[in-house]
Amino acid sequence: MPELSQLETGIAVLVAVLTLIFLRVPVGLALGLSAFLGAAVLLPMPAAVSLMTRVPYEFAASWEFAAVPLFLVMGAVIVRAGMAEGLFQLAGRLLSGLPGGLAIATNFAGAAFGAASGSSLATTVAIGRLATPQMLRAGYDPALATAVTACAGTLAALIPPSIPLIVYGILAEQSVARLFLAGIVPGLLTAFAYALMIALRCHFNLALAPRKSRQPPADDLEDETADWGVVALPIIAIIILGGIYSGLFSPGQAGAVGTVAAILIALPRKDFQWRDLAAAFADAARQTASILFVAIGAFMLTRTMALTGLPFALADLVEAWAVSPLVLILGASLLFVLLGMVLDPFGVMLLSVAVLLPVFERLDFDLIWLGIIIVKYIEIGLITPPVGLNVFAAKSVAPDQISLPTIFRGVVWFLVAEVFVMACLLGFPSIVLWLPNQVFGV
Amino acid sequence: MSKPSQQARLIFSFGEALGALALCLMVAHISIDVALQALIDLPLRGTSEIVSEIYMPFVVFGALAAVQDRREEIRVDLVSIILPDRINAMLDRLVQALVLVAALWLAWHTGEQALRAMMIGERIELGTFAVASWPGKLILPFAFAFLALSAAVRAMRP
Repeated sequence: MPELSQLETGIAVLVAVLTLIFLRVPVGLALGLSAFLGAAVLLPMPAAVSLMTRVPYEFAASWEFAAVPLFLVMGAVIVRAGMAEGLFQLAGRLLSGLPGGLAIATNFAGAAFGAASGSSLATTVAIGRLATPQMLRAGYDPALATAVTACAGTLAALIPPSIPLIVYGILAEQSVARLFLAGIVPGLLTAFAYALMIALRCHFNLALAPRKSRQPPADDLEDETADWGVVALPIIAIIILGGIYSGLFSPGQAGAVGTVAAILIALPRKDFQWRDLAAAFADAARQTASILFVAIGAFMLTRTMALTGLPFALADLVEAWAVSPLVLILGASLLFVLLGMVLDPFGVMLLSVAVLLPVFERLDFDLIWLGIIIVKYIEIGLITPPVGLNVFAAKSVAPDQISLPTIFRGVVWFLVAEVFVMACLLGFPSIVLWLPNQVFGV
Repeated sequence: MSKPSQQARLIFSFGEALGALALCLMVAHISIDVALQALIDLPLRGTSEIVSEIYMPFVVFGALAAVQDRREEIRVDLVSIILPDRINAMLDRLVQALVLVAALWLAWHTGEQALRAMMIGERIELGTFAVASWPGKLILPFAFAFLALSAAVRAMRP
């Protein structure tokens, strides 16, 4: 078959993916079906059927991917055991003196919770359920009170353990341990950029947040969960990261050890029963099926894209045009942001790994840095309209009278902070690479 | 909810329970392996093979139909905001029909592969013992058949 036809097939497959996704076909099926149709055009039918129907088992039967359900179940136990409460209360007490102190506390509690749970949506729901009512009672602007929970949840995508980083690491054949370390500084930078933005806004606009005297006294924030909750999450995070970087266990094994630690901490509590544990495992099994079904579709698409030669043709084109790395990454950034606005963020990441990774690889981009950049765009995709999954999650735990447009209005300011963070990460890759290079060497 | 729907939901819950049980066993198995390695430098042999060939297929595919039944699958609801309810309902039925056909097709082909693997007693040799890999393949046709059933139930729901 002439080369042009292969490329045309590749482009037609991508158009089919986007069309099916917009028609509300589940993303995994949209990716897989389009991939199969593309393979059927390029290969004899029996070969295409064999190639595609073997993918689900080959993909699922993976030691590396075991990290995904293991960290998901750990996060589910942490959420069902209510471990976010103490952390939020401590942050509230420490930061109440700052302008917008409760919102800043919510932001940092989200970062800390993300460090143990690994899931953006779970973090938003867990933190939002606690923080949004307290901020509203204290007289905070509803747009700020809800947007901060939506945006704090996104920090879990970068701060290890991070499910998107695990999936990226496996598909891009990069070290997950190195990616985890690379995510720490950008995650903290984002958390501090959010905090600074909140403090400045609340300092200059008194209508956004009351001064300390109107905020609920510290006693109102206390209950019996506070003390154990404060220590539980750091203990789990230390076990996970300490174990990985001391070489005691791999990132995948860390998920199992972290789960056991979370269960041992949660079970002695009166409000965490065996049935909660069973429900946590069921939650994680469904989340795994949901996420890895999309990843299987993306893996099929990667195979078809390799058959079409489209990613390599793109790489040739970029080389021939002598596009500068900066222009390339800015162009890709625009694409990620636009796709992230309308597609599921996981779909954007997997699609970009399938199509664009060979281009970046050919041009000698550092794939660890690229992974962090892609996951940052996933983070941003979680809060941009019209498909901002974290905003929907924040809405689900907010009072009915707060509308989605109100939350999106609050999110705009966080997006301004994200522009600053992205400029830093794109302009100074060492922000991302310094820590992993210190630990593992260049 | 109609009786057939309730019975179908029992099947989906069974699949979900299988996935959760496999996940529970996987956590226990890996944790024991890590503990034995750390304490007496004697890890459980074949852990990575058992995790990948046995537990993982059950964990990944067990709850697939339950996800579809609870509408927890990852999809983009962008056009539903713009379109009228009647068109949305029609579109949803069309999508379910597509899921049904694709799931049945996958159930058929993965079923063929699982049967072949079972007939030859497919296994992975690990020195003095072997791990049977065919049970992990057997979950796939069932999971896709359950997924097809869940799409049919969802398409028929008013």
